Amino acid sequence: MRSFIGAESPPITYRVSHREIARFNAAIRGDLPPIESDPALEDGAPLEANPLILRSFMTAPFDPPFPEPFHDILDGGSRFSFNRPVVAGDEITVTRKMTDVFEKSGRLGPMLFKISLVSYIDGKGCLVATQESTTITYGRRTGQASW
Amino acid sequence: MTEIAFQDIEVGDSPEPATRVVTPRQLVQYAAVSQDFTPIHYNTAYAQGAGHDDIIIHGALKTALLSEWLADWAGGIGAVKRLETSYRGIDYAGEVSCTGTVIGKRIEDGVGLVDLDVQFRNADGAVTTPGKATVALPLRGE
Repeated sequence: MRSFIGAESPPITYRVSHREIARFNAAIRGDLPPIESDPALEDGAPLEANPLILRSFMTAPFDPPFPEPFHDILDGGSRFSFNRPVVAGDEITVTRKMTDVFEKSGRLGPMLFKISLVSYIDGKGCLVATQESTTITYGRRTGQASW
Repeated sequence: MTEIAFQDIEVGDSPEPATRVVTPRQLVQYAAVSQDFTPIHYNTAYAQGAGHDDIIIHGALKTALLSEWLADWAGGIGAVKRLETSYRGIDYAGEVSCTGTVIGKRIEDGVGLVDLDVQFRNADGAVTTPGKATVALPLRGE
């Protein structure tokens, strides 16, 4: 599995809509999502997204896919750097680079830690943000890999 | 929203803590907008089968709540530039809070930057998610 260190996912580009930002921000505030006729969903007035909207822009699987040994997953934490806000109309291209893979044992039994660096780049080629993330898998075996 | 300036902040200051109640409905709503459909966040039986007492708050939602709290503190002109969180404890739906303390301040390239230790706490006040943040604040008079 350590052979995946350095692997990069194929890029995916997302276009960020006003509607998507309004719904994401409502979810963070705990508000009910705006209804379809709500003027807040209309494109027009500038609307800045909570920066964690970047997490919803999923990266593509590695090619070939990572041989995940466990079914269950936990988010270990993230280190974000934000260069500018995400706004409606942005086109964000997302890629993930695996920077480390290692195993540990804990309260939940054997666990696999994957450290990766996700880059978010806008349509002008400027880096909007980066995220170093730690993903932990554990629990039931998938049968795809053993270690 | 109250605007604060870089010069108003001193090391040791603490932004006003914020308390929120995260409901199961909000976890479902967040799952939908974040595309994180891991069942431990909305399926109680699944969460218990995975070793948890109940459905748990998404780690990224905790970071988003810390980000929102810091952005509110920074005001309309300020901005969160860096946010690091470590999910060391599980949080179940219910009351949570965000707290923090200023640990440093500096000016870089004409921008006022404030460093903070931040914490996401459960209903008992225990820190489940410590973190560090850097917030850009406007310089008064500029």
